[in-house]
Amino acid sequence: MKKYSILLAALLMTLTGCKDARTSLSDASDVLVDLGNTKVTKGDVYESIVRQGLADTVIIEAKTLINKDIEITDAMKQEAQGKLNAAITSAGSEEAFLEKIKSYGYDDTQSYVDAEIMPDLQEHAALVAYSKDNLYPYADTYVLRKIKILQATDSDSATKAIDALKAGTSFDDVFATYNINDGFTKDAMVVSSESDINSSVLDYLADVTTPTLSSEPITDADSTSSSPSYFVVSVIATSADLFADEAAEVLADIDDVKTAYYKEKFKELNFRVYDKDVYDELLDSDEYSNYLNQ
Amino acid sequence: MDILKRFWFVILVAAIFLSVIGVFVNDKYQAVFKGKRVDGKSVVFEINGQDVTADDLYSKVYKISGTSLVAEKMINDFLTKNVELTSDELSDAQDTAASYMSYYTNNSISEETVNNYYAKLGYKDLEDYAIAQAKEFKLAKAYVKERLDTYYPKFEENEKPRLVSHILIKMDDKDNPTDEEITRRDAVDTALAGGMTFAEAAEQYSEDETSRVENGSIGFQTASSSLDSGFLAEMLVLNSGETSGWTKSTYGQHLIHIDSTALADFEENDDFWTALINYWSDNDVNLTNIAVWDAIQAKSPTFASTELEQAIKDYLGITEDN
Repeated sequence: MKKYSILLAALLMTLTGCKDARTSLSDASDVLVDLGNTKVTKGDVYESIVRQGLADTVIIEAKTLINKDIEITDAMKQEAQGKLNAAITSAGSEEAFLEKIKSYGYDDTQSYVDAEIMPDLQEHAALVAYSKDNLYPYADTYVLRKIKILQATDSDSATKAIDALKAGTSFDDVFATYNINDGFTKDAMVVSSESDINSSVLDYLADVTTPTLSSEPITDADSTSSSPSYFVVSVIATSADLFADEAAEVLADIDDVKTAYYKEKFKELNFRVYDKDVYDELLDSDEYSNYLNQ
Repeated sequence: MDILKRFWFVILVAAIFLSVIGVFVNDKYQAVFKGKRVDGKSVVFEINGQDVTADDLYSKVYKISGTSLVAEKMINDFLTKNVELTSDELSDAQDTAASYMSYYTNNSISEETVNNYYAKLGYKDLEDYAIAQAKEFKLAKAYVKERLDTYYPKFEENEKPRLVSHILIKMDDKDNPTDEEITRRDAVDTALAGGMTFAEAAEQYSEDETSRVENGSIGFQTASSSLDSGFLAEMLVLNSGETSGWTKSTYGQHLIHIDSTALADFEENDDFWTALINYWSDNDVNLTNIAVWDAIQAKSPTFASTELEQAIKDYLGITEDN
């Protein structure tokens, strides 16, 4: 009878030990606030954090670790300084900015740059490198084109602009005469099917496979728009190999490319989760579920 | 061998039984989500061979939102353990929760979704949240009641609090009433001129069905009340006991009567305390937090550090002035 009792107890212990893992702090019982008949511990705060959702923090941390070895170039340091300066200007003064970042837990501007600005720049550099390595088929999927573009007041102006270009006038001069859109410059730019540009232009570019000048104004006049737009587009190159660096920069900003990069990296670097609540939260997310390997 | 021969059936049954248990335990173990510990610490995730522990993530999140999490937990626990509601107060809180839930479900948000949302915030469900809110209101009301000399004068000056009644005659075009509408309006004037009280006239003649059953009373109002602008403007210039002339609004024409502007007549009305608390909140003085903090002081709280205590006070808006 004694042997059977021991055997049963051992089996029961085995069964009760079989429960899903959930994480806890090593110092969970440390008291933060003591009200006499109730206490708030670090463990209570951690439970609140997990209950309100840890998935975003986990993914941000994981992405930072994925990109942490990306080389920080002088150009990136300069860009980081520029972003810092812009943030300080936006806050009104350096004192106001410091007060703001202290509320986020940063002691000084350098710790803010290291935690907030530089990881974004490293991520961008990683995405550019990934896009270059995967230029095709992304270039085809996202219809990359190198173009010059201007927007004219009306159909007549656009037609005159086209005629001038055909007659040999430089694009710079034609742009200066006819362009009304402050968002455009006379310089060439690389666009994709995801670019924030009039859909009539994107439709035109999807059908262009060789360098060309739009033979007539590109317009959305047939749409329901009450004030149609008229564009003139000079397609400089359609083969992404000819503008690979610029193409990679454009691809790096596309959300689906970003997701594909991270999906690959989370798998390659064997991302694994050890907390059931966090795992379930990631599984419920359309984006984050892509990163799970379990 | 003899034992085997004698007990072969028992041994066979035991072997089958143990096999089934073994398979069951193994299946359960395979289905269990496995954890990881390194140097005595729980690992939340690993990537590229690098472990990130619960302690690591706690430090990061605590920097940004730790103070608010500690403060909210402290308040919730204090209210749960130390503040009781009367049965009427509890019933009101439950009615409030039911009303909120109706709103959500009428807008295609399920009860489960709503309750899960409040569970994430640390409450059992929406009703638990409503009860906590009622407890906070109880503390705030008691706190402000003891300090009306401090908090009422400016509120009175800016918000012009009053108890208000009205009589409505509905009109399609308030500027050009029909003969029939004029007749109904004149009936009110005749009744009042004949000695009928405003309350009696409202009960008999007012076409606002909701306030009519309350003798025309629309209760506690202030300059911030959500009322028709024409009605509000006229309401605010009247003194206690005065009745307006026929005042136009989008609903028609009204007679407005000020039942009282005396503080003593407001104190039993929770709308007054809510308006008073909200007025100061709009002016960056969170009376609810101040009241809860004041109540917590009676427990002689201790904090892990003076920095934490100050951070909580900053979060709650507790200053030397309050």
